[in-house]
Amino acid sequence: MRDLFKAELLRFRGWALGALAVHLLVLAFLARVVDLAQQPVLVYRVFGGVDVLAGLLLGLYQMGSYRRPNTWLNLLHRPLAPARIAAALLGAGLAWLAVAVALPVLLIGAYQAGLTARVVDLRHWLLPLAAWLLAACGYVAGACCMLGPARRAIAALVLLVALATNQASGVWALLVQTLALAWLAAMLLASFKPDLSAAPRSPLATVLLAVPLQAGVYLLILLLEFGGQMVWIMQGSHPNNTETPPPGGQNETERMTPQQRMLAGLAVSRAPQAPTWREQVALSEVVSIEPALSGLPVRGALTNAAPVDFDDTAQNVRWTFSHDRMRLVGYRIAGGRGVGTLGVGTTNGAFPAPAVAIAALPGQPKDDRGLIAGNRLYHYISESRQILPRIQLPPGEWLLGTTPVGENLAVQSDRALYFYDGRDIVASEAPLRPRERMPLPGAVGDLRDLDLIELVDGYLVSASFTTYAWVMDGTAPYQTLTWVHDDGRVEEVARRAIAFDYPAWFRYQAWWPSPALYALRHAVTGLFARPDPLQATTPAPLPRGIRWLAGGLMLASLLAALWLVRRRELSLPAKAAWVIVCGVIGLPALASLWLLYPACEAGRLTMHAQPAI
Amino acid sequence: MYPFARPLLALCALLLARPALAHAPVDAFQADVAHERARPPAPTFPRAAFLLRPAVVAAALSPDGNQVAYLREQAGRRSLWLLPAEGGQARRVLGGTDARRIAWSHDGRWLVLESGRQLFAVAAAGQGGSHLMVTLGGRQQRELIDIDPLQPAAVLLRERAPATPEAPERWRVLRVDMQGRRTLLHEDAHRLVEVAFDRSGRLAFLKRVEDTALAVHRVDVHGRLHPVLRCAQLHRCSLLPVTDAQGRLLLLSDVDADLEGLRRLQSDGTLDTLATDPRGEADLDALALDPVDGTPRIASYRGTVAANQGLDPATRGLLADLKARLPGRNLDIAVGEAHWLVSAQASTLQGARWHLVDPRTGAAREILDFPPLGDRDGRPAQWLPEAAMARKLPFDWRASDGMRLHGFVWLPPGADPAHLPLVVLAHGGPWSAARPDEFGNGYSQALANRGYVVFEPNFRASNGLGRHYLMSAHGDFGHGRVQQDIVEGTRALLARGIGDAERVGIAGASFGGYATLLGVTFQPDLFKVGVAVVPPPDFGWDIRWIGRTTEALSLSRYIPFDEWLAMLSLDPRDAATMARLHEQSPLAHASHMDRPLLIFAGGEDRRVALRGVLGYAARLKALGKDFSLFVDPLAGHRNDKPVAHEAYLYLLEWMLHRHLGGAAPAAPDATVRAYLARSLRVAGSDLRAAGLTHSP
Repeated sequence: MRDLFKAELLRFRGWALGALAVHLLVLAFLARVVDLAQQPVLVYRVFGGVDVLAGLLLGLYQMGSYRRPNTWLNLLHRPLAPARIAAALLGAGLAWLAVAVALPVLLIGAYQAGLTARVVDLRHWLLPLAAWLLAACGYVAGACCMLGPARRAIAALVLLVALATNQASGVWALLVQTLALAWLAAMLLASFKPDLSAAPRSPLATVLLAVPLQAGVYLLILLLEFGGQMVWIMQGSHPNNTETPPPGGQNETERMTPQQRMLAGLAVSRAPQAPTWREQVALSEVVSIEPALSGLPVRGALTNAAPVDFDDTAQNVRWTFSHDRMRLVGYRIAGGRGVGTLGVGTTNGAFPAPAVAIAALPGQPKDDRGLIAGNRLYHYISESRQILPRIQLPPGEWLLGTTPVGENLAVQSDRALYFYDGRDIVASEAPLRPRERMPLPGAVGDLRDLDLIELVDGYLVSASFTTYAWVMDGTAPYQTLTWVHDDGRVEEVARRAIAFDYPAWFRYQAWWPSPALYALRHAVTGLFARPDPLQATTPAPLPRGIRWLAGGLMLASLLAALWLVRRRELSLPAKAAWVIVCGVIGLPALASLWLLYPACEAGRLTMHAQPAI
Repeated sequence: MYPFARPLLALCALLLARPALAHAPVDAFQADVAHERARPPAPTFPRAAFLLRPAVVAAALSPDGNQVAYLREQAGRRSLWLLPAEGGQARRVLGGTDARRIAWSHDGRWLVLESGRQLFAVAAAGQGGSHLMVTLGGRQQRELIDIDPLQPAAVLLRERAPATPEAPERWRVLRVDMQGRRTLLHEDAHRLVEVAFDRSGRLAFLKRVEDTALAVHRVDVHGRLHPVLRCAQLHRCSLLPVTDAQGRLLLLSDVDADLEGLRRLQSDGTLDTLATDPRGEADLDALALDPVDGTPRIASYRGTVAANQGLDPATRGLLADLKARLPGRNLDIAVGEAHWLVSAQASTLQGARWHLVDPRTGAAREILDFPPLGDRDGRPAQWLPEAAMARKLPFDWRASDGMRLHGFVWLPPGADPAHLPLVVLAHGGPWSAARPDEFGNGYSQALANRGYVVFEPNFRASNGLGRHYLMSAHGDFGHGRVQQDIVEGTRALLARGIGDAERVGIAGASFGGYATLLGVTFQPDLFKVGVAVVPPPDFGWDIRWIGRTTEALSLSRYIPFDEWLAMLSLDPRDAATMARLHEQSPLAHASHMDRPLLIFAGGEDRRVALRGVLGYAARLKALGKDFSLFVDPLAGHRNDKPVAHEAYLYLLEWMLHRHLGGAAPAAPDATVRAYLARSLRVAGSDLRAAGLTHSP
């Protein structure tokens, strides 16, 4: 085994060392021009994607070189168990991936930590491990694709898709990657047998292969539906790109100007003031409230959901938020010399959550900044290099952004809209108290447009909940108009039901092919992830027709499975299990049954007399 | 004719003549009216001719009186010049600056240029070293108090040390020399306002804010404070920078008096009055101080006439000479050792004229007589001929509650005023006033040139006319006492045979716009048309709104906004007052507005909320009223765009022409038209008749 391992190491040393050099050069160049530790999530995704691709190519190439029947038999024809042979080959590949993928990241991290004043937190030291895990997953997935029959290749690739969609962060993301790697390794070991085209032999191996295979089929169905949508778009009748959107629908509302949207909402209002408001909306500039945060930063996350640094050009300082210290760490923009840490108040206290810089509050000098951290807003004062707390929302709320409205300030959280007096912002540095609070009349994940005008006696706020009206996660779309009285009272003055632009079968296209796999998909996406408050929605009730459709497909799968298992050489328990699984999971399970046990395999199964279960 | 007809006609004639007989003695106003009627009619001048601006932005006399520094605008650039008082060529010292004010250091070797954000020191004696002294504003709210009156070359500043969670805010008065070196003169937990020095240069008095009052303290040699005077309830007390020779504080104050005058604080805490308006009608408007020791030399008053008062015999003699040389002029005088710098204005005189006066001989020489600049293009233009301009005549009337009120009337020369349309121009504020002997912004003069009588009433709450005049509104700013003053003044003027009672319009900006809305809502029988610029449709709501914005901090600089208004009987926290103002507001009575109305508003207005104007316009629109609305989204409370000035004047003329029968205005040029089209939000029938439609 050791010789095989060494031989494999020697085989790839040139490629690996070359990759190490190229990787290191690229990272070194980038580290000279940017702070690689504080890049937006897209940059990390690109790097992660390249790592996965590199691993995938290595796995395909390495196992491809052994896959020819003679070579394969020659490889396995050794006094070693197939698992140990696999371990030797994989060990060599994984070792080189550590050198070519993880080591450069580690070296660049060490450079940043040792030779610059840039922030390198614990989360950054985990990046080499994350890079290696991703590359390893790609590598083992590539190996699985190459060793298994081509029709089952999707089973390995689907685990890479699962990695891309999982929402866990920090060490939890590493745990998910580790689990994926373990699953892929187990799949590989299950496939590492003399007859590469043979069906899995044990129940465990069957589960290991069948579950991702079913998920892969499910994914293909979704891709097929996506392709159908592309055809729809090209045809020109898709509600998203028709010249005139369907009347009264979600697209129409979203394509309206803020003014038109408010007028549409007022059209159904029975409030006695509605005629006057209509005139005022027509005369006014409508203010659209835009949250500054589209994702919430999580302490210890490997990537950055929101920018973590900002420049104070007046003081020539770049401030970076350190997750370890929960404070800002500064260094000179010119020269890079460190200027120390900056926390809250004169005690230099820690922030309660990772802080994100936004524009200065109204009336403050342009070099000042606002800092959002959890449910609080802080004022960074450039001149005195101080950070003072200005706004604190109730516990559990997430402050998402601020928008000047006339002379005052609107603050949006995931649950409410607040209004603050402009005078208080400038008059002192004391914490601000809202004059009005309007609870959001729906879930923030559904909220797409929040528009308002100032009235003489308060504000008229329009909220449209259409974000996910095209899929099943979203609420049944609607719009509300709320009158926020000057004295703080909040009164809904209009509620307009907005029509779905898409038929139910379209909106539930992720669900009816397999409710079970839809649930699995959600479970995998949210595995070890903290629920994102910004994605909270109030899904519309499931239509009865869609239930019938899903149930019909499950029944059809069950009946088809009954027909199919009778034509496959499977044990009775295996047949029963497959029939039940096809009934519960539906079409993807039926497809997996057919893919795992194709008709041509039957003879071979008979020949080997190997029961599947 | 029937036999009894002749005596009946005689009786009728007698009855009709009664109003005239009631004023049988020829008073000054009647004489003024007769004089104006006897003048030759003026030719019609183009609108742009009334909207010129002077080329000299500011001028200052050196303490020795030998040099005049001035800021001159040429081809869009502002530069700093020095002119020798004895004659000779002016010298340009600075090619470009954004400064708005200039002042000399006490030693006359430096010029201090103040722009909105900084103080800049310019070496004026060839010594070199011009540079930025200090930045202004910011979180410290740093402000220039004055040039240091005794140190050779320094300024006095006040600033705030902002509060931190651990420490409350502090206030400081600083001396900053021309090199930017700072010396702390005093630090206090209270907001500091002014300081005064004794003649040895020691800080002797300071004024600070204590709750809702301004408190004056004596500063002893150890820096300890001893209260000496409390100016509560908005009594005014402005410290002069230097005490008298005996170390007694001099101040402008109306404590224990109606009129603000020059006062001296005695050691026992009592106030002597050193000077007050000899006519007994106006507050002291300005003082000219001796450049050497800060002794007050001239007091100026701007009541119904502009007057100057010498405070010592020598100055009185010189002033008498000056008045003889510059008769009928409103003189603003800066005293120097060798010369005086005099700025002369008059209601018929477009722009100020600058004169250097030799106090030894009394000889006056006009200087800085550069041609004015066109408002829009900045090109050299010509002042309007004084002989063709209307005069601003003081006019008094007695209100129905017996109070004597003042105002001004512009009469078109050479016309019978009884048959002319009358336009009431109400001033803003309301704590502001129409001043005597000033040409003003040109609108009144332009309307007079078009054949309108223009009435500028100083309703109660106007300032500069004493504390009683200022405070006697008692917060009655709805459809109440103050509006009644305007209406009664207008009727009094009509009763004097000035203006055609069937052709009266009203216009104004800010509070004047509010009065306009009140006029067309509640007095439609009197006011046939209204033009309101940045009008708050509900005065109570607007001040409540201001109280929540940063504008409150600049409006009531020292006393907290709500307390300041409470002392003016307008407490925004008092629900009853606010409800009363709302009930009497044009907003609440939009349905009663049935006169032609034109409204202008600014999108960046921080004093009159656009939301209020739009809310009012929305109500009018929902009620189907005929009105027009212009909103310039980038304009503030004051629209500084020259094109806006001309557009406003054109529309004012157009509305008055349509509804009072005045002359039709010349069509606006393409630029003005485009501006109007961009700003038009609601086009009523008047605007449609003018062919104006909105274009984005």
